[in-house]
Amino acid sequence: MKGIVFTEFLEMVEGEYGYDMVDAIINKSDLPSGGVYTAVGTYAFSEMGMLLHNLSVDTELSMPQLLNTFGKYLFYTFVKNYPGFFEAAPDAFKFLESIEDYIHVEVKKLYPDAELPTFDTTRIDDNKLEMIYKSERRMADFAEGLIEKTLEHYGEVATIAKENITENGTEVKFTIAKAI
Amino acid sequence: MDPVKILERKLERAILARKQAEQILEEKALELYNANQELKILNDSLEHQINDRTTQLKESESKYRLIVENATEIIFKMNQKGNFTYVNNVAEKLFGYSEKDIIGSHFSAFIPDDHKKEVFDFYLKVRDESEEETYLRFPVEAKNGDIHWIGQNVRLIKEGEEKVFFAIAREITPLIESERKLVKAREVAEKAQKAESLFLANMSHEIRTPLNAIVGMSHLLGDTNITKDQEEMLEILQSSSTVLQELISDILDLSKIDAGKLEQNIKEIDLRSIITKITRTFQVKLDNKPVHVESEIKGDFATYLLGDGGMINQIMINLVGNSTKFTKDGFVYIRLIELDKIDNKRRVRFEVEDTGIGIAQEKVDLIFKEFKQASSEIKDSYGGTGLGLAITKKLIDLQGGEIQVESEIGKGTKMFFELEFEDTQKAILSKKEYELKAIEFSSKNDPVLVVEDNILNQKYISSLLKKWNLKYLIADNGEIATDLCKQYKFGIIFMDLQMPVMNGFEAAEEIRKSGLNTASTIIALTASTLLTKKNKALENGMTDFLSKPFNPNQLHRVLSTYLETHEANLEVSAQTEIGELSEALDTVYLKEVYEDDYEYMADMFDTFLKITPDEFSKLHDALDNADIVQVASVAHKIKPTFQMVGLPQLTEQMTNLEKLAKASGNIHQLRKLESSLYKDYIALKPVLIKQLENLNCWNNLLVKS
Repeated sequence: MKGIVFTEFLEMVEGEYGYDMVDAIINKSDLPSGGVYTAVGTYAFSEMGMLLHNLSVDTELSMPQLLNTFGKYLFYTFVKNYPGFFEAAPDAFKFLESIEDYIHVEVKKLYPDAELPTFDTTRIDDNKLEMIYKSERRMADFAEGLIEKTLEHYGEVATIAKENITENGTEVKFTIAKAI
Repeated sequence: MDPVKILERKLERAILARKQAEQILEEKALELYNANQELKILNDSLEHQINDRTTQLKESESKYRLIVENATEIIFKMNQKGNFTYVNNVAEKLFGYSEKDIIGSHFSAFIPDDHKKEVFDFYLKVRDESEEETYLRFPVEAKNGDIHWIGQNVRLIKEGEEKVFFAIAREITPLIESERKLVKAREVAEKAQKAESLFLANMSHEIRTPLNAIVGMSHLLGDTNITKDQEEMLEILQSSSTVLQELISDILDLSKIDAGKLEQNIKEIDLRSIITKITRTFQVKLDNKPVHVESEIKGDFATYLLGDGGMINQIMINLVGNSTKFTKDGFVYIRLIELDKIDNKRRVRFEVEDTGIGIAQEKVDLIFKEFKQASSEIKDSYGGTGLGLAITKKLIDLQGGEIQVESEIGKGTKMFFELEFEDTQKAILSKKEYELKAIEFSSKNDPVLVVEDNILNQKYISSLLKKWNLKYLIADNGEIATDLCKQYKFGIIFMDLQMPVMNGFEAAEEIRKSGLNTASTIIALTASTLLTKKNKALENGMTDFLSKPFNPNQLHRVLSTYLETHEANLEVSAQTEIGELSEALDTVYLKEVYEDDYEYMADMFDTFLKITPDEFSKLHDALDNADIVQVASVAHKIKPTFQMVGLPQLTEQMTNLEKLAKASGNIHQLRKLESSLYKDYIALKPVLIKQLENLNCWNNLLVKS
């Protein structure tokens, strides 16, 4: 997993709960990296799992909730660091549709070792988009947070229906319907 | 929790993270540097390659341009609509059009109107029939209006998705000009040759007319009372004029063939009879020479074929005549062979083979040239004009055949040719078709009018008419004739075609218009052997025609066709009827051998009567001298001749004499046998003489209708 995810995550935790919490979850987790992360490094996904788990225990918030929050948080980083992707898409649906075939392609160029989920999109009609998330990481909630922020970013109002295709959450269908 | 410791840990993590990041960035920077280096090298090499390729391309392009622009051929491309898409600078050099004038223009803009369609069709053919490569010669109009001929090879080639015409053309104007000159030269040469032939034909004709009178008059002179000396002179006169006539006839034939004026006269012909007659003619002619002429006919010739019998007859007479001329002793075989019979087409081979002196292989072509013979010695020792074979070859060519020669010096020669005939499928009738009649003209006949400007010819015809007791009038030209025709009704009018004042054609038309003779028989007298002139005569109201020169028999035949006749009441016919030969002779055998060829029979009788006295005296001498060998020899020689005059019993007796001479050699017995034989011969001789007179008489009056 890319280092930026860890640095952003820990920044978010520090911002919400103070560095004490950051220090606590690092100390509780058995981390090969020793909790030292840099945005340009690459670290095992299992470390993120452990950090999230310990955060969940300490804050008594559910994992899906934490992931959703983290997703929303990371969106700002993306907007800040990569404004071009957003400028290229005129509306939220167009942006969501561009993830698989454009943004992820560009990410792969920059980080050949990045492990990315897939997003298959189907435009049902002008106001309805179907998006299928697929990843062994099972981070659909994280994705949901990003989607919610995207709509917000474009100033659009929509409902997001989430439905597991596989029981363990490796495949999840989002149905995004704009309010008319 | 110790906040200081936590802060320390935070600081420591931050420091470590920074170091880690620095290290990673260091590594990345190095990677980037290396990658950059590699990229630079690749870039350099790529640039190099591009430069190399560009240079190569430029070189090869300039090489091809050099070739294309320096070619002597015009090279161009054209789309399928016919608009030029490329042309090299040769077109400009040759025709003066710039590249701008040509590119985009349609090809037809450069081609003279009268050739446009041809060229258009040519390109269409190349396009639609996609022939590999095609060649066409056509003219192109240059910018200054000059016409240039080009020879052009065109192909359809693929250029991208499209197919386009690709052509290489070369200027061929000088070639075309020299071709035209050649054609013109040939035309001039042919014209000259024709003029020459025409001159010859006219000259021959001019010579023929007076010669005709010479022959005719000497014929009549023979009928007057002349002395023995005069008779001899007359004979020389006749034979010389015959030779002259033959020569002129040969020259005339040759010039007519060369002038392209000789036409085939296609009629129903009986090839078997033509060959048989020629064979007999030569058998008679060669009676004094130890050369046997024999014919062999293979195949079915029982129907009439369509062909020019006269020409075939002339060819065969020339070939056989030639063979007999160059054969001292031995054989001449005349063969008629049927090769194929497909539907109504028949291929026939004619062969004449001899055991003569032969011709050297290298001289074979020479003998068919005019006035040429194999060598001057041949001309000295055998004579001849050297025209016979030249005519023969041309006559065969005219009928679509080709004469071929196989020969070996000292062994003999075989000449042969093949012709194709149409078969009428009409069966040839047996020999009974010759109706034999002796004819006299009825006194009830209207008089005969002879319209002829030549005094000798007038005399010739009038003498004959007088002889046959026919009344006649003579007119010197057509005008006199038409006047006479207003006053008298004529039974038959003989009309010469070329006369002063009014020619035959005009006169005939005039006579037909009104008066007493609108329905009378008019016979054109023409020296022309050309069918066109004869047809013209018939178209002008003539009933029939008679070719000059004609002999008394031919004139008699025409008269008897159109005038009233009755059977002759001649003394001879009272004694023995024709066809009823003397009973003392073997009539069955004679009829079988001669059929109804009385001329040939007469010839044989004549020859027999001339030679046998000598042979008998030889036999008598031998017997007197008791020369038994000579007796056998003479007997052997003359034994077949008796049979030929219808005396087979004498042939048998002579055979016995020969056998006896060879076997026992008893001279007394031989003398006894011979004297009995001689007595029979002497007793029968008057019968033979009478028979010969009878035959001659009939031959003179015989009319074949």
